[in-house]
Amino acid sequence: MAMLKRLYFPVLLVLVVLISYSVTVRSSGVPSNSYLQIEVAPRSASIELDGRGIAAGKVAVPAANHTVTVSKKGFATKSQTVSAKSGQTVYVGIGLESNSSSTRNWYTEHPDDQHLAEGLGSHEADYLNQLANQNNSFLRQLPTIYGDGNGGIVTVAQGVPLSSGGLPGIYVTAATPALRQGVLTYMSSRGYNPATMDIFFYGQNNPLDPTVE
Amino acid sequence: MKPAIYYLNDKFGFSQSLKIVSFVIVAFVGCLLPTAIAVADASFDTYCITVGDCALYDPNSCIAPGSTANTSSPASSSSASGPTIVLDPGHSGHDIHDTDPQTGLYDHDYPNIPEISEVFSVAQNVKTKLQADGYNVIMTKNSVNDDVSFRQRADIANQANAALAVSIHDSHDTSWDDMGGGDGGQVYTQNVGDYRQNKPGMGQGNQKVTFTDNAVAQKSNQYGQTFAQVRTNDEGHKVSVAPESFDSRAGLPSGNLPMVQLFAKVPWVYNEVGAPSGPLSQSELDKYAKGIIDGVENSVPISGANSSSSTSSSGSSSGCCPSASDGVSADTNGAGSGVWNSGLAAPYIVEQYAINVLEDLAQKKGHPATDAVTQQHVLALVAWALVEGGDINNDSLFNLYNTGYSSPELDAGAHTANGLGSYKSFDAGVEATARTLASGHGGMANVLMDPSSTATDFAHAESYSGTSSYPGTQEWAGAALSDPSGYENGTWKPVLEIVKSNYKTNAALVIGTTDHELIDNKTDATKLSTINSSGLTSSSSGDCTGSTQGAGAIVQEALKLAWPDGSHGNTPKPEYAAALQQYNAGNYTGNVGNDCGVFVSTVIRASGVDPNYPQSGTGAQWSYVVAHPEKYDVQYNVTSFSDLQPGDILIVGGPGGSNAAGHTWIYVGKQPGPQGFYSASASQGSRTGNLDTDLLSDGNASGGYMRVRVK
Amino acid sequence: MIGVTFGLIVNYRGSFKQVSVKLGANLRLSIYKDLGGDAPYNYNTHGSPLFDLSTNGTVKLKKGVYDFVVNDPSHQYENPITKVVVSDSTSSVTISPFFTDQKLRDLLGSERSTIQQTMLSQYPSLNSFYTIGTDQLYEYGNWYGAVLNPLDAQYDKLHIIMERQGGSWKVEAPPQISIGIPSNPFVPSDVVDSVDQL
Repeated sequence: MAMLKRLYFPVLLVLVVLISYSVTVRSSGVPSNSYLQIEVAPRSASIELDGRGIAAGKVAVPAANHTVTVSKKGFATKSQTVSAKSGQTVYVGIGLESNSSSTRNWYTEHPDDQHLAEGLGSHEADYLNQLANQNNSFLRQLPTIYGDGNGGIVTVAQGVPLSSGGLPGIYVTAATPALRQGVLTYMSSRGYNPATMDIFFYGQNNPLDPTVE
Repeated sequence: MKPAIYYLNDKFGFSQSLKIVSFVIVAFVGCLLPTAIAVADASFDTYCITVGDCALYDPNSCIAPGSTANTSSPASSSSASGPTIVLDPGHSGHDIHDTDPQTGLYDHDYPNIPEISEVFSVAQNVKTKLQADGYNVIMTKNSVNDDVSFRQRADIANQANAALAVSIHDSHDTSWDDMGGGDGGQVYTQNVGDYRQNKPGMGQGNQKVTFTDNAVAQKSNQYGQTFAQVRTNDEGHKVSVAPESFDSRAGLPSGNLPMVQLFAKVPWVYNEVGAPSGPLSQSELDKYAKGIIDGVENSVPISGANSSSSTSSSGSSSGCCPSASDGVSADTNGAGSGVWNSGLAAPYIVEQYAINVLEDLAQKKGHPATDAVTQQHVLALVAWALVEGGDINNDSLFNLYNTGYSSPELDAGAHTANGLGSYKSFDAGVEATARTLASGHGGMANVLMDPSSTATDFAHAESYSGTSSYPGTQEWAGAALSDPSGYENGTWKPVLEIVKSNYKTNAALVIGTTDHELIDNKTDATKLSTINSSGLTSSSSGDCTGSTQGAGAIVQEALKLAWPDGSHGNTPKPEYAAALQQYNAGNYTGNVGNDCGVFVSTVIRASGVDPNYPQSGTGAQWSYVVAHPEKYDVQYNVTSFSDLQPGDILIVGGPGGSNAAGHTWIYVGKQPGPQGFYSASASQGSRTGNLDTDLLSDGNASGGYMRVRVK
Repeated sequence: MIGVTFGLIVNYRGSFKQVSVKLGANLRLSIYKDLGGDAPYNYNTHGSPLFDLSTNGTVKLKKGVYDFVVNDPSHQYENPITKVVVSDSTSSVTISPFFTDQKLRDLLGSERSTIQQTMLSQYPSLNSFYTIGTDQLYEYGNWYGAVLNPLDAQYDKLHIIMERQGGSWKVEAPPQISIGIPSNPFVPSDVVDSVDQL
């Protein structure tokens, strides 16, 4: 009996250690190694991340798609779904717009919220800018323009995105199929893969695509 | 070949060679200054190019063996396109008694001897130096005894839209050390509320005539402070900004502001210095002149000039002069008129073709090579190769500019239906091009024979050839003829920017093979001239691009206020901090201007383009430009950068009131360097004005970007 | 003693991972213990596998190295054997090797006319302006890319991508000069890259 008593504590200790070790080993939590940087205007708007209420600021999330929804009475609710990659911080800036006469002049009447809303625009712009430059160094070459050898010119310029995700589209002005093809050669001979970009060609005649101008 | 400095010493002796070298340095700086200036010039690009080691055939730095060094007037002349300064030496040769027609004030002046001649000579000294430094200088008097009323003096400055007017007086019967109140000199400035008023019996009426222009007063005081400081330094006695009073001056209307300043619509600084009953010494007059020169140059600096000169006297070292062996050798082709002999071998590059065309053309026109082969002209012809795409983007070998010239000793075969064809060799192609330019294209050729003309001058000539702008000159490009302005702005301007920002690659494009080397990116940088192996780089600021005066001013101001990159975070560039104080005080950024709307509005206001641009808030700015179609041309939902011109303002987010997120930035055109910056912007709380690569992606803002262009 | 045993049992159980295995269509998979070394795989080909799977499933594996072997008697798969390291962070493994280039070529021979007929039914005027040129199948023959060559110099050379979904083919990237990866997030980027260069 006495021996058992003396063993009691060490055994308990070992047990606790072993259980906690196994529990740790066995729980396979998904690591949260992405971040969302969330800013909203008006400041008093409610924020939901994947359906759960949160406050504005930097929040750790698993690398996955996430939906941020911002709402406030008198304003149209806005949602944004982003894809967070491992190690990445995604900026989410959402400013609400009035959809009721009672809040029509909200921002002029609330300079602090106006100030906040001003910031959203430039922060989002900075984020998209950084993303674009990380993704596509060809953008630094643009806009570019050169003669086509026959009195015309070819221009290659960046512009509004052609798909969601915020990366700039590439807009090409070249008068003939050969010149348009030449632009793809121009890019690849300088080490840029056209397939990695969304490219819009002005002036092409594509009878199979009624939407092409 | 010995470095030129030793050569000079041998040939001219020490002190003379010192003069030559300092002239060269001044002239080289002179090369930088006038072409780095802004605004008043109605045409655009006055970009100044420097080269790593040596100015490529810069006539001001090239002293060819055997030639006499030119030590006379410096490179830049009074026709420089710098800021306009009006110098107003006091007093008229006779008594003047006028009544000013506009105000009824008694306008009275008189000769004041010896002041009238002393201040006139000081003004002349100041004028000479300012002109040498690139300013446009106007005097209110052309000789000592001219009679000029106060109203006339003010009109001269007003009509010239002077950046600054400077009155020069001295006050005898005091002393150099103390003209009154302990000051050796004094400065009078314009202030809102300052006035003059007829005393009983003089002029017409006795209304108080008050100075009311706050913007001018601010500048006058800002400049006045500067003058007081630098004059104190230069003259060696205390110079203060002081109040003035005419109340106890007999025969003059009462009040506290000199008449010329009262009548002026431009900033005016009025200078006095103490003097004994006898004349001032030459040394004192020289000090006074220096104080005024420094006052002007520190108040209205020529952009880029106040940074320490980046030139070195190695700019005058050997290798800068065209080689004596270049040129036509006697009829190597035996064809009678001579074919250019470059002495070069394949592979050939664009830059070699450009230089040789200029040399050949100079010889045909009877000009020294140094007139034609300048940095600006080489830049122009390299850019022209890109604009035309001859050889590098078509099948006409050695025909870079797509000339239709045809002659059996030069042609490689029949010319195509549109007149283009290949030439049999590099030399033949150069010859064909030079002959074409020499005959029938005088507008363009003359520009290339003028050593002071710029790449933009050539672009203009090429775009407007065949129009009434260059009578008797044929057009070069049919595309230009129908819309010269569109061609100049939409084609030449962007290509010039591209070549400037990436000179080496474009100048090194190989020519003379069946490849389209431009598309295939075939270059040979080993063939670049050793003179500019580091490529053409820009001076740090002052690029006055933009198709209108307003756009050019906006670009210049943006480049001035913005850091060259985003590494400075929230610390504003000193010029931006100063501009914030002056034009945007009271904004909510704690005077660091780290807000997109504040930055853009400060640029617009400081440039002089629109003092009423809303201080902050993209919503307010959006609403404002839409409400002022007389000033701004707006395009909604701009799609790509091919729709933008330097000087354009971009705004996203919609009108003020219910809008949410917004952003605004200024397109300045592609800047030199690997980062390829093309915008100037700030971001709330994270960065003050810096150059960047803003995008047309609207993110969460409502709708796309609006493009705003000053009319 | 009881406690220690309990702890040891708990620890032993904790060294196994529940690994969810996703298996590509029509594949049979056998999982073997890898016997070590840095060859691409090393298992006892005469031994019995630890697990056999013919659909998605979950297997309990102790942490260590395994060879996941796709049954491939006719050598139609590229990389049918995958060496998998099961560690603390392993929760799922996806096995779907692509067909070999030869297999894809053979498949294309028999599938081409079906695919192109589908294409023509979507673009009835195609033959008036283009001919279908170089084409290729990708992955397990479920992605198709082709070049459309213009019959007249005013038209551009185009590229098109189709996918077999269920039993039928659908146009995923419509005919265009250069197909972009960002605007085609559901098309494998390697497929876009390769089709653009056909």
